[in-house]
Order: sequence, then C-alpha cells, then structure tokens
Amino acid sequence: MTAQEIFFIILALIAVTGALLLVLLKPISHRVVSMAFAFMAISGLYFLLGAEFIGIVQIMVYVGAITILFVFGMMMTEHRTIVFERDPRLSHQAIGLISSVSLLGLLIFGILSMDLPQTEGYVGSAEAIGLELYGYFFVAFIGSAFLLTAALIGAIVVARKEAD
Amino acid sequence: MDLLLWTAYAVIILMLMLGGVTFAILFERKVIGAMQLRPGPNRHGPWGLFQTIADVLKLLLKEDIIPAAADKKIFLIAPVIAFAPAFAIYAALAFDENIYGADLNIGILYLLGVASITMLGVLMGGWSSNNKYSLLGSIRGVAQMVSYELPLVLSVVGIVILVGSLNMREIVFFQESAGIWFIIPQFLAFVVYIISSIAELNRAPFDLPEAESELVSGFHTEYSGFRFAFFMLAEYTYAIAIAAIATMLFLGGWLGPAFLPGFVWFALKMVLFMFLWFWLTATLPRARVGDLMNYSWKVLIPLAILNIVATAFIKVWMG
Repeated sequence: MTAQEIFFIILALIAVTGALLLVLLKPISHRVVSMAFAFMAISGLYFLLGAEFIGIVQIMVYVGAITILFVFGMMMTEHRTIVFERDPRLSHQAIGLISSVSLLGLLIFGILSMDLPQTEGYVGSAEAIGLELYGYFFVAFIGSAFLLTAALIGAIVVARKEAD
Repeated sequence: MDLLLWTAYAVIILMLMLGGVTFAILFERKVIGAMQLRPGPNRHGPWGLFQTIADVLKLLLKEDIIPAAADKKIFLIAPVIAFAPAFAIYAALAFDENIYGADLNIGILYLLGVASITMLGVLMGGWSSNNKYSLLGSIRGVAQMVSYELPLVLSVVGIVILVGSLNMREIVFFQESAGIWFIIPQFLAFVVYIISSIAELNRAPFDLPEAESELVSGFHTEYSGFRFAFFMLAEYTYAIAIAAIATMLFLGGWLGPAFLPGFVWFALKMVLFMFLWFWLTATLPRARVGDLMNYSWKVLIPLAILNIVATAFIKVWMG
C-alpha cells in the first residue's frame, strides 16, 4: 500500500464518520464539530488528488465560513429546548427512505459506470481557473456577484427593519 | 521514505516551535518589563531564562477542572481545534531557500485559509464553558477576527498582483530579483497588515476578547491547567506564524547580507515583528469595541482596496 492509499483511507474514514455523526449525534454543537471534521477530511482528499486550489477553497468556504455561521446561529439561538425528533408520520418516513435509497443507487450507478482515463489527471491550477472564470464564464461570474450583493443588501434591509 | 522525511520535518518544526513559544513568552515579559522600568522575570535561571519552563510545569501539574454545566466533549476538544490550524500554517512556510515544507502553488491562499479556522477553537471554547463571560469573550473574538480578516487578506492582494504568483517562495525570489523588499513599494499594505494582524491575534490594544477588566479573561475563563496552556500555546504559535508570513511577504524572507545564513535572517526579522507587537502591548490602552469595528470597516478596508487599485494601475502602467 502506498502512502497515498493510506492517507486516502484515513481521510475517507474521517469524512464518512463525520458525516454519519452529523446526522446521528443529538446536541447541535457536537453536530457542528463533526461537520467541520468531515469538511476538513474532504479538503484533505482534494489535496491528495493534487487539486490544491479546490482543497483550500473547500477549507475557506465550508470550514472557515459556513461552519462559523452555524456556530454563530447555535450561539445566538436557544437550542437546548428544541429537540430533533423523528417525524412520527409513516408516510414521511417512507418517502425519506425511498428518496435517499434511490439517490444512493443513482450515485453508485454513476460512479461504477464512469469511464475513468488511466492517464495522468489534469490538475486545475489557480491561474487556469482564474483565466476560465474571467474569460469564458465572465458573464456568469459577474451575474453571481450581483446575486450575492443583492442577497447581502437584502439581509441588511431585513435586519435594519427589525432593529427599528 | 518521503513520508518518513515529512514526518521528521514536522516533528523538528514542532519542537523548534515549542522552544520558540517558550522564549517568545519570556521575551514579551522582558520587553514589557523593560518598558515599565522593572526587571521582568529574573528568579529562575540566569536572566530569568527558565521562567516559562517553570510556568508550564506548574500548569501541567495543576488539577484539570471541567465545569459541571459545560458541554464536556466540546470543552475538551476546543483547545486542540484552536492549536491544530495554527500549527498547520507552518507546513507552507519557507524558512530558507532550501528549508521548506510544502511548496504549494497557492501558498498565500493556504496560509490565510487555514489561519481563518483558528477562530473555531475560540468560539467552541467560549461557548462550551457555559459561562457568560466566556461567551461574551468568544463572540467578541469572532466578530473581531471575521472583520479583521478582510483587510488582512486584501492587504496581501497588492503583492500578489506585483508578483503574479501565489507561491510564497516565488514572492521571496521576486523580491530578490527586484532588489527591493515589498515593505517599500507596498508600505500602505504593510501598515494595514500589521494593524489587522494584531486584531487577528487578539493582542493589545485589540485584546477585547480577553479584556481582563470586564470579562475576567474572556473565552478561556473556565480553562485551567493543561488546557489553558494549550490555548496559550495556540495563541503564540499563531503569533509566530503571522510574523513568519509578514517576514516572507514584506521583509524578503531569508534574504540578507551573506555573513549570516538565511534562516538566521528569517528568525531575526520574525523577532523584529514580535518586538513590534510587544511594544504596542506595553504602550497603548485597550480600544473600545465599537471603535474597533468602525476602524476595520471604515478605515482599513478602504485603505486596502485603495492599495489594490493603485497597485493594479501601476502594474499596467509600468507594463
């Protein structure tokens, strides 16, 4: 077994365990920490593949921003009284089971039937991604920037209205 | 074999860093002591050299107290979450032309991205203690760290524009071939970086998260013994890492006259930065929370953006 395989197994185990604990644990704070671990392990997998840029963006966006946002939400709200119980309605449980199993089946089918080339993979450097973003995808990039700005301004307007 | 070498490198860096933190704390106390016209620690060893070692031993021997109402698992893991990213920063630093860990193409992004996770430990520690002072301290700490991360990142962009690369070693090589350290052409960025790094590190005059006159000692009020030592270790590890990044970005890393080896120059420049912080700690009173936030959003971020625009114009104009 090469070092890469060993690291892959360790990281994959952490990612899967973190994702499972995220669903299984009771207190929200524990869930958030296990989510952070899962995200870190996934970014580690990206690093292992040589996709450094995607790996670090994973850390910045998911661990640095989204997890912190979750923790803030957890701190600012009263969560001790709220319990996440299983939905008692049988029909809902059945729908959940069917949809998750079919999604899993679809994913496994897609992964197994994927035709992976044996040659050395293409690694997207930050420069190549930048050229693509500001070249071919320029309109989409600016469009998403406008969308995010609008969301930000909307959030501020809503927050100010509540403060007044 | 490679794996063995990496592990050895990591262990050596960890050991050096533990030693560095030990003497950084002593250095801080000595500098502040000298500025307040008192000798500072001078009981243990010559010139008080073993003071921190004695302090750490005391902390290790203390009883490990976990508050009854604390969220125990998070409480236990928070110091580790605070320390691990601070140490992970060292992976992408180059201490000399040939002494470096990972030669990442996105070095700066890695450093800034990993550095941003340290606040998770602060947040978790403060929240899980189940103490209002801890909670207030950690909310302040995170608000401050989130605000000051923006000018910190924006101040670095000017250098990236000039060099055209995110690789830390290439930034130093560029300074070597240009014959000028970035502190001169990017002086505005340097000032913004230094101010926002102080806030990032929660050091005086921006040490609101642990303001002892109002919050006991902020997010680590409930921590004692070994876990408290771990928080301290994380704080100083992060401080040394930020100083090392500043050295590479603005002061030419290992570059210097040839009568000393490169890593000695690197260490000396890092000490210079540490001295600057300790000097400010001894000199300035604590800022107010509102002023601190206003200063970040209304002064530092516009200045950093101005620097980016000016640098971009100069870059295009000069060709």
